[in-house]
Amino acid sequence: MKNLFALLLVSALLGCSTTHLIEVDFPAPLVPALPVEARGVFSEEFSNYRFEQTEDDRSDMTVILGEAHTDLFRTIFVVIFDNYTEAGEAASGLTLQPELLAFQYALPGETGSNFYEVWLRYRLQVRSGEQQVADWQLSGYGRAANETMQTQGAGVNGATEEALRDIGTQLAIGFAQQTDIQAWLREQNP
Amino acid sequence: MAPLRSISILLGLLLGTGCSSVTIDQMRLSDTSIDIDNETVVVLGRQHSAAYEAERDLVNCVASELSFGTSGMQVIAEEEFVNQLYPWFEPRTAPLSLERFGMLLKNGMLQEAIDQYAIRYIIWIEGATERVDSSGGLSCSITAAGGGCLGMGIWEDEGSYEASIWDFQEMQESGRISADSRGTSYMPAVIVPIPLLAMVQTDTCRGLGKQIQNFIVSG
Repeated sequence: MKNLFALLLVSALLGCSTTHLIEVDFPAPLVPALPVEARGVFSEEFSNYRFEQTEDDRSDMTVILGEAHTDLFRTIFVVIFDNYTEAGEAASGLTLQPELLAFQYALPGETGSNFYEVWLRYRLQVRSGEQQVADWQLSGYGRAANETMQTQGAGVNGATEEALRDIGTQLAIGFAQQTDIQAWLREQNP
Repeated sequence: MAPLRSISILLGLLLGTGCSSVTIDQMRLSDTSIDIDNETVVVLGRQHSAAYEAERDLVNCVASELSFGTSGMQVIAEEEFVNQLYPWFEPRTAPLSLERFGMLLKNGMLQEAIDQYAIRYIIWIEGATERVDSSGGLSCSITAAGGGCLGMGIWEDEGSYEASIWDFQEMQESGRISADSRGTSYMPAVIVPIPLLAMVQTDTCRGLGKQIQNFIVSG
């Protein structure tokens, strides 16, 4: 009986903390490439990012996002630039460095809805040599229905995938439309 | 043994016997036809607004209904279509009108990718099934001597969907089909809970799927 009580206690304590590894396959975007040489820079902090929820009034939760969002930016960069690399220094062209500014989530019931929801905010710094070309902030939103027999991990993964796809959509379509980027492109091909 | 078997059969008959009704309305805007062997359709859920977000299960179910039977069509899976055409059919970018869709197709890459699927009709579904009422109560307990439940739960679900059928070849809207459904489920429990579920979403899917298939084929 004592053993059973100990097992239940351990299970309950373990149940208070969850870790979710975000695993997503991003499709390559169907957009034309810019005739530009570009280099992506992913900081250690960005590539290994994990969100840790430790607020007292919510269950502890860790979301491992680093690999998924690095994959997303890489997938988009590879397609939207004619010549993309992550090695060395870009002799000419653009250097792109994304940074995650905010990760927020809501679980079903917390907002009165039956959805897992995720909000992401990124900052993309674009430089050409020492010159800052653009400093762009992107916000993404995703949600996933709380389905019967679904685990919390699947719900959080689904909502995060949608939010990342939303960021990818803006990046793929919007990059070349940014005023600062357009101005820089005109400077390169006067 | 015989009484036990009778109870099992009774329980089996009772399962899934919650009541539901589906009302289908149709509005035809132009003639339709399809070459089942050489043309395809795709069923997509509207995701642009939380209020109209069609459940993925329902969208897949309607797609499955369309591919079934003697008039079964070749249906492109929503996930494959949306991924191949990423990012043009995302909640933020999916065309809400044929005019907007026509503008998107000026992007040659998109036009070429869609052409590979030989799509004749794009079917957009929007709507949702919601729980509109619930009453009663059910309590379960476990003791050293055993466990059981007692009570009665009742809930009512309501679904409202609209399918908009776009003719990709003629670049016009062929028609709209709406489905409104309502169903009441019961869960009486004397020791064992017995779910009498109204399959509102499934019934809506079947009704909507059959009607869309008939709409396209009967021209």
